[in-house]
Amino acid sequence: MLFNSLEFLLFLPTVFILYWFVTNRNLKLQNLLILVASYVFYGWWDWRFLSLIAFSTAVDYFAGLRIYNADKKSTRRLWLWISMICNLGLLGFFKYYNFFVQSWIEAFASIGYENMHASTLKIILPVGISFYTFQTMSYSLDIYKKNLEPTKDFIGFAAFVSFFPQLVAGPIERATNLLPQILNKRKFDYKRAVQGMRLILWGLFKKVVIADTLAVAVNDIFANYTTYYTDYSGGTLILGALCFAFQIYGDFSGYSDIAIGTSKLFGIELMTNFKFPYFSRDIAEFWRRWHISLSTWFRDYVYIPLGGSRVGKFKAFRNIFIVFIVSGFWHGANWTFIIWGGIHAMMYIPIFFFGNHRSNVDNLNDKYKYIPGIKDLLKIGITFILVTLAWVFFRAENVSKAIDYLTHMELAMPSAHRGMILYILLIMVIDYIMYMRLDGLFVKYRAIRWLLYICCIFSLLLIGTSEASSFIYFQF
Amino acid sequence: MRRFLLFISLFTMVLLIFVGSIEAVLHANYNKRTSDFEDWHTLDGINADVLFVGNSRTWVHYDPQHWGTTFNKKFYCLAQDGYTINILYAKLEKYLEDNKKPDVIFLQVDPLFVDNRPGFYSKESFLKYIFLDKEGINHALRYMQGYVVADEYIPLLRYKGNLDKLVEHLKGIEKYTRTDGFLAKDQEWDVPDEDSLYKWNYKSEYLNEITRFKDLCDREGIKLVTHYPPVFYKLYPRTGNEDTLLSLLRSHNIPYIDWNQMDTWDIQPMFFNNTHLNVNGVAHLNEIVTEKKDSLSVYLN
Repeated sequence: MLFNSLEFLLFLPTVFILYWFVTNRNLKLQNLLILVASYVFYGWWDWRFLSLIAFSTAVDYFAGLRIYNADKKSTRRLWLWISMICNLGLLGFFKYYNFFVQSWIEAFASIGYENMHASTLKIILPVGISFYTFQTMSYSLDIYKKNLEPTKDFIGFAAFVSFFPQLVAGPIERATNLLPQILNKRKFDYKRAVQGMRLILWGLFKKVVIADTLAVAVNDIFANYTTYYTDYSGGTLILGALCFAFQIYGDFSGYSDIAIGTSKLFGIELMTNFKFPYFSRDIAEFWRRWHISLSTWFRDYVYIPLGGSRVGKFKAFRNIFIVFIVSGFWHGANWTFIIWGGIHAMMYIPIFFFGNHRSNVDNLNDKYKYIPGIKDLLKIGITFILVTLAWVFFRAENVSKAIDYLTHMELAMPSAHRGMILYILLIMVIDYIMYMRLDGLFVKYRAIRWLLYICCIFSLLLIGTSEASSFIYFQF
Repeated sequence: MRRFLLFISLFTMVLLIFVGSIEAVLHANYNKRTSDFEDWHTLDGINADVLFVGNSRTWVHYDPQHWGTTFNKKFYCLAQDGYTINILYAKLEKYLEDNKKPDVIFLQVDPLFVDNRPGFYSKESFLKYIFLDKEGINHALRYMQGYVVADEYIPLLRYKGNLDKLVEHLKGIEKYTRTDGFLAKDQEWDVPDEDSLYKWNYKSEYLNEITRFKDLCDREGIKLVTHYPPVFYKLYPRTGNEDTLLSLLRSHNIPYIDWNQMDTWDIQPMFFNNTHLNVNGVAHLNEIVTEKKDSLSVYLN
């Protein structure tokens, strides 16, 4: 079920009413409702793949208990391995099987073995598999690291794994944050619910009005980029890359906002996933602001176990490189994602080398009232350009097309889709106002607030494409 | 919770007042005016003796006034641009609700019309009717690609991505230019020649739609005549699977007129593309109608 669909418009109030008015006196019943609602939400896409969620849930529920109760370290490790193999096995089979087979064939062909016969399978990628497998793995890992005690409440645990607002595209929650909220009684909070509604509205605006509109230009420019640079100029290619940067931001941060907002309606707080990433002053800051739930997951469960930055410079570089490559690979079974991760690693390592990776941990609004200083503006601009260029690999069909696209970009007036610049400016300005907390005037008076909400709803009704389109991160 | 629900209800009411006012203006304008593409709500009181039913190959070809003076009957073109036989079945049902039954229906049968073209959906042609199924026609459209069920229930959503049309409908500046559903096109040939080389096949799975028409006409006591409107001569021989059509028509005893057998239709200035006559072509077709008056009268009695 898509957040931007009629089904969800009916689904959400129904679950909300059942949650607060029918099952509110019994926590187990309320969690059972979350579980059933989440399975309906996911099954709306394809009920057959619910079995994978159920399998992952069962494996980690039992693995968690066994790890906790085991006396020997070897037994604890054995159950952790069982959990990892099951989850990564699911992920590997459904997401990466064809990629590995194809890559092997190509690798052998490149050294002269042309007659390799291996068959790829017609595998449907289950929506959200990368998200919920990572979430369940974090549960077992946290128990193994003794950061968490396992729960015996299977319904509660299953509700944690499948919690519908964040099931298919995150934020990837940690058991340490979400599970206690699921296992304890929730209270309705007016302010939190209102905040939730605002986040849902803003998330929908970013997805439906900004991302879906920019998607039309992005799809056209990336599909016909050769025509654009041969018949006109490479200026349109720059616009295409810019549009994609804001499309993916609007799409994914929009999804996260809706997920966080929806959770708030049910009295549950999810972690923040985006913090105005395009106002970052270096790549390190960008990764502290972009897809935070994934970057912190890799930090906690890959980077730190590898030794982090306390193992000498060379090994630290290796660890950074591994984390970025794995992060790229997490996004999809394609060399474009791996290279995208590699580029970010290459941009991060020099900052790390000079010890500047934590030099921009503050917020712009702590330093400036309205407009940042020239130096910071310059840093923001450079970081944004680097990130946008790297996005070309993320969006292109293959590596050679990405390189071809990048080499034909030129500073010239775009020949098409110029109107998209308005959408880019719109989201930038609104984001900037929110980041610098300049929105006080708008939110002070109820009449102005309501007028803004109504304008937002009118935009949702009238701007964009008519069919509800899927979210980009569903494919990951 | 009470406060939250109160504010949500209050906000919803304010929103509904805003949206409702716009919908009210739109609906007032819908009833006042009509366009060539949205004429479903103006089908009452036509009371024609003979109906031409088809797509654009009906409304740009058959001049009801010429046929009317030739045969001394009232003719009308009941058509919908680009749409197929199933949609016109729905339009005919709507017509029959609000008019006296015609004596004869001339049903267009050609490979373009006897089809269901699920990818052809053009929302613009139905904007006035989608919300709350104003004319009861949504059931005929739901199978089409791009049809959004939410458009039926959420106010204004049908105008998404089409702000120009919303403004146009709010101003109410549309014009209906056809006469008795007909408008000859003053247009010159505007497509490449090789366009006439595509395959032009009757698809067997949609031929049964003709029998639906036949059953409806039998129930209502209307005579059904089928016909194949003129096409440019290069395209005509590419008509495939015609035998299946003809055997179906024979088995149901449905008369069939092939206008392509009455002339060679090889003069390009009579067409503006392979399947549509222009004003010159229509004048020529009218001449043929006058010439063949006696033989055509058989179908009208």
